[in-house]
Amino acid sequence: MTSVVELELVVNGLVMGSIIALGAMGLTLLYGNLKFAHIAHGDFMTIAAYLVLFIISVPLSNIGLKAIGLGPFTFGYPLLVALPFAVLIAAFAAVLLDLGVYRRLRNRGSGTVVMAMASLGVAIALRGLVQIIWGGDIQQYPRMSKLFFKLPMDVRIPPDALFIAGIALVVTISLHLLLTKTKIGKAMRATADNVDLARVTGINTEIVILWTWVIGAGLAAVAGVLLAVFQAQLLPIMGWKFLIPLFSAVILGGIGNPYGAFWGAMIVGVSAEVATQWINPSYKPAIAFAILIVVLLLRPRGIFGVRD
Amino acid sequence: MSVLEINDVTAGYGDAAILRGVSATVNSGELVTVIGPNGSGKSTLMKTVLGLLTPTDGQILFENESIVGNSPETIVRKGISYVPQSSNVFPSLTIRENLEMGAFLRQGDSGPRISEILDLFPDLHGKQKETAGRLSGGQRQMLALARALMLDPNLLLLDEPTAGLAPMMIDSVFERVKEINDSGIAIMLVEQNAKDALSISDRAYVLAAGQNQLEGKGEELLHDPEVARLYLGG
Repeated sequence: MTSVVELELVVNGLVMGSIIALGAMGLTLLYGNLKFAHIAHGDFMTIAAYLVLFIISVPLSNIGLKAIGLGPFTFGYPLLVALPFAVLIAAFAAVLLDLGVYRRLRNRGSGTVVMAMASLGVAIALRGLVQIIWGGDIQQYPRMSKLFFKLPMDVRIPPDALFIAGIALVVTISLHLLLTKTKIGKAMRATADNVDLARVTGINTEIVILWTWVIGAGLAAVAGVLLAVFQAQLLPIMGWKFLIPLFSAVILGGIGNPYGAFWGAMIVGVSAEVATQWINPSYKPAIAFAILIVVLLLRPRGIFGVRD
Repeated sequence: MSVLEINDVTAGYGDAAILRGVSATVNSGELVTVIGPNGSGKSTLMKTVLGLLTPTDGQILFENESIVGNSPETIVRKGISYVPQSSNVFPSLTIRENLEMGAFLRQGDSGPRISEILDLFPDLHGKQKETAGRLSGGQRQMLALARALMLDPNLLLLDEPTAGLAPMMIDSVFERVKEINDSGIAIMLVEQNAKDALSISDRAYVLAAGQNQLEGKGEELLHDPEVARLYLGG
């Protein structure tokens, strides 16, 4: 027993943090542009994870693509084939939901509470759909157990964790480039800053909102699949249970700020893992909740919330 | 010929009419000021022109075409730019990105237009990569003006551009407004600093309680004893 923080827990925390980051960056962008808490965000993660399971085990398997154990990883290349499809379907579903539900409420002038409650309804519906189609039992992607990597300083991590961190890094950098180099990305940041000013400047905020859904749902989809890989299991409630870390990261980083959400996610991920050195791992979710409460009490604008 | 024609407009929030039969005209190339006490409906008038509020009665013509019921985006596309009184820059965006957003409706590269505009606002030139949230109040007003010019509008609506600024800054904002007007852009200006505003205006309207009170040439109103007593501080 050593009092020094175990490096392995920190590394695991960073991997978990990168999954939280993908979800939280989308959630914070949605909040910034639509001004309501998207409670169905976790269930978008869930549905994408199950979509990948479906694509791997039905269409891909039927045409004979059923490899597992790609290189050092537990999963096979069919997962890589299925991932982009799940992302596209999730993005498309989000756009349809906006046109069918949220836009109608917006045009009626519904407040943030009504919008959030509508998304709670969507969350419950999505979870119900998953349970009806795939049942409530634990499922897994087809996998093959692999040896852990040995990193310097006695850190052992599953190779899948490197894959997760790699994908998360590429997606995060792509999001950064989108937000800072493209017209629609800058318009998203502008709309998040001040939606009224965006409208009178001539920015088509409805188009910006649709793009925000595409990106938010796409990021959630990637996060959901990575979570299913990392935990080596799928459960209908997996995304719902992920909401607290997501919202903790969003609020820690200052609502509406995707960069803040990224660092907030890392802090939440690492704190929850490192805490298991002293407390029972089953209390991990409580750490994210505690961070959420402390930030709301002490710095409600978040640690990066320095905007006016 | 008139760029903007407001005829007998009634508008407000919900059932409460703030404007009650207001009329005003801006001719091409003119600088027209609207003055009046707080709550007289000056800002509401601008918001109604830009389509943020829909009039319950009356007509608004831009270049002889009705714009009543159009969305703000459509109205901006037609050639009216608007600078709100406060929160008129995107604080987390850089100065350059703020200007790019001003050109959102423009197709293609906005780079050349940004260079042109920055030549008019030398203060902003060296600060293109700075975040707008870090600018002083005066610099923000300049940036907001610059952004509004990105689309090369035919009419500029300015809602109290000098509110809350230091006296020196007020002078330089008015100077800039005059320069913009001299370049041929018609301007409708709402102001509390009535004296300064009237002295650079071609014409002006005085609103009170949501109705037209007086109108005339800027100079005339400046020397009108009634206006002087009520709005120019003696």
